[in-house]
Amino acid sequence: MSARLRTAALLLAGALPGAACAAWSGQAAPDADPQAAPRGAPPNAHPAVKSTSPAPLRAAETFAVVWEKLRDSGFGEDRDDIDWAALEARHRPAIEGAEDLAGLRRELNRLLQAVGVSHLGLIPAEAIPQPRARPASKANAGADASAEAGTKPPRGSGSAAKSSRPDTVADAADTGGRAEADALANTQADAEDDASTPDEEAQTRAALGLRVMVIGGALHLLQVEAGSPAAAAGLRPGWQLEAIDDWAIAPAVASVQAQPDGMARRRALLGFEMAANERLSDLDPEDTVSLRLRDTLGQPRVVALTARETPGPYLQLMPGMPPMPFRYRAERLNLPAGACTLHVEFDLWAQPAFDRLAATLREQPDCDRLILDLRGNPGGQLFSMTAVGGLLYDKTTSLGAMKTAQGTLRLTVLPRRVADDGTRLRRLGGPVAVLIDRGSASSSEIFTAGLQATGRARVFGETSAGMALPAITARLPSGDWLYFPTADMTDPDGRRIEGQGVAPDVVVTPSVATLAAGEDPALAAAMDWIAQSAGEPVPAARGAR
Amino acid sequence: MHPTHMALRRLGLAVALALVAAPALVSAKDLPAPRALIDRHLAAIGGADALRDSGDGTAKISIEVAENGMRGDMVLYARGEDLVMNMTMMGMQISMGSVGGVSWSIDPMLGPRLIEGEELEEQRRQMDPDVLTFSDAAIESMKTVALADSEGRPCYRVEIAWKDGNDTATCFDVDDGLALSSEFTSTSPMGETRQTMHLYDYKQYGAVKMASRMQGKTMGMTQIMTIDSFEFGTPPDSAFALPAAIVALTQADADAEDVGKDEARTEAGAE
Repeated sequence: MSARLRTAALLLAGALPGAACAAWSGQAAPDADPQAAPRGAPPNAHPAVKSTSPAPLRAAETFAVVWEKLRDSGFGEDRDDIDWAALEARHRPAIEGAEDLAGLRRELNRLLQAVGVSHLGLIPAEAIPQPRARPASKANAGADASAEAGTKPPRGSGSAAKSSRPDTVADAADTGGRAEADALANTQADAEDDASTPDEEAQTRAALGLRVMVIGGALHLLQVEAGSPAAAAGLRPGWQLEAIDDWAIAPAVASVQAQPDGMARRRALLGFEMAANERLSDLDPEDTVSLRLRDTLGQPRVVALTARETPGPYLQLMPGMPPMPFRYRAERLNLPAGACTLHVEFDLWAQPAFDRLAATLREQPDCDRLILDLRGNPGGQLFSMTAVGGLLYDKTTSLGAMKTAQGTLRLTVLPRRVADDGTRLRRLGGPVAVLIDRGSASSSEIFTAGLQATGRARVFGETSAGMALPAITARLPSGDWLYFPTADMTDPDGRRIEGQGVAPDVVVTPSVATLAAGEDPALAAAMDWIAQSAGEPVPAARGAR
Repeated sequence: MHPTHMALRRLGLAVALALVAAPALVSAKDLPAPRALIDRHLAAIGGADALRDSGDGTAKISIEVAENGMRGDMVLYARGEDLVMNMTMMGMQISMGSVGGVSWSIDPMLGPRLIEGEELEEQRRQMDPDVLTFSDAAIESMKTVALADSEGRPCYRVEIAWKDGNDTATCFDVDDGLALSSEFTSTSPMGETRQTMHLYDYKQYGAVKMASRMQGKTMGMTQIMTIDSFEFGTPPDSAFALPAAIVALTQADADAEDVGKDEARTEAGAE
């Protein structure tokens, strides 16, 4: 056995940390209104925990591990403001004295909330499903039945791909007189392409086809996916959502708005919206959800929607995280004078994002402009950011830096010339616009900030979530999982994104009126700009952080 | 072991631990010379010559992130100066190699790439037999700085300044002289980080004794690598075939170089 081999093994292992780290905000909503607890995820949503958990509590050991991770966690200057001794004095006795698992979780959550950074959350053991084999006959039968009913197209047909905002572009064409959407043949690539992912057998999730956002003090439908149960029931963007089952929305919004102005309210709002969206999209197939709404004419509506299976692939970012569906959509939008732009959106940062974007660029060799739509994207695996970046830069670039106790690691982008199979990749040299909103979190923010700071993209929309830290999971003695930040993150100019978000270059906020009219002003603004841009570097001017 | 020996050993350990807790009580002149510690370590693992002469083979190594149980498998192939490593973990594939003078890496973060510049120099330095055997030819200066501990195990910490400008620290077991930890700077396109690798469970592999378990921490993750097996003998040629992406990159670079030469010739001709 050669010492050279051992050294080589260390070198190879050195490539692991960046690849294995995630920056995903999905479990990081410490300020969420307790009433907004998504099904199956937060501890308070598991009243049966006390009676169904025979395992020893191991509260003291659990506190010790959580405390060690918190103290070692390098989440930056926020740490200096924390009175750790007071925090320990206040929370340790309650945690170690917890009498049951529900109580332990409640007290741990109080501690995590007191620390007050993103990417810090407790994931109950039962929220992580054990992999299970899906009988092939059942999976196939479900797909066929949906196709026959005309409610869900067969995978790979392309129809589902246009479901996110299919009307927006058409409406933009009507109003702007120049944009016309042509669905790409590869738009929604076959889910089977990724069937070899390790999460193939993960638990299937289901959704209603809605995304909601607080606008003007009320919760409104932001998106209604074409072909979804919500669309089939006639729901339209702009409608106000007043209740989800027995959860009345107005008091929840009021409690959010009663928070002190500033970051506290902002985080509460984000947590509330994340929880509300999870109640609409993190469902079991065939779950029925009752919605009380008010349409844009002020008429009350009540509907009961049955959730439909969310197509895969399902990805597990790391142990201790629930499997999440990955969706990718690309379309070609025509611009004046025969020009065009690609409009690409995906809802999770992971390897398929790179693979699909590389495929889209190959298949559209004459289209050299890109609108990357990261609205509502909660983040994902860090490595996929630099991978995607390699398709957009022609020279080595840093998208930001992670500061750790061991040193500073840059998010280095190396221009990609070839794919792993040796085939040449096409890099996009033309202008890039990025769309964000306050649902754009974590990796989405880090990537956007990097492109913005390096002048590679112009950013449209709303200030992002401000939840941007690299994080990993750790199994706790209690059996639950801790999701915790491992480093601080800054953009290429050294500015922190955590707690501040990325300010767009062009602020465009949706309104009930534009939603009701089927318009997408942020996309329209990006198209206006990209139509006139020749691909020169974007001026450094940007909104204040 | 005789109970008296056991007791003495425990007593010795207790004393050593007490010394660790009060390092200021140990003056530098009481510490062993660094060369003596290094030579003792080399003797314990089979000698410098055995280390230099260790032959071709295939190692299978498992890698685990202690915090969350994320597991992966690594295979390393060695043939003369050639070396290839392949790792899979959570669906990710990472590989590195140095074959016929071409050093390369493929990982999902940076993609396929040829290793060049400082990173290549760093790799060559770490693989240098003089470095691996702590040869005076590679060392600028060294000093035993403390009776320290490595994860609770008492050891002498030796800090080494290498002639190439790098610095490392190795902690040698007070009892048997084996290296218990190694502190070094890791270089990649992402930057430099200071890392500590703890070494456990030395086992005999041919003529050389090696730590079969290594543990380090980066980005909040504790990585544990365990050598599951080592098979002597030259691995098949297929293990050293350059990946398609690396072949494409080397070809592209060669083409670019040819274009550059052609342009230079054209310009020279025009003058």
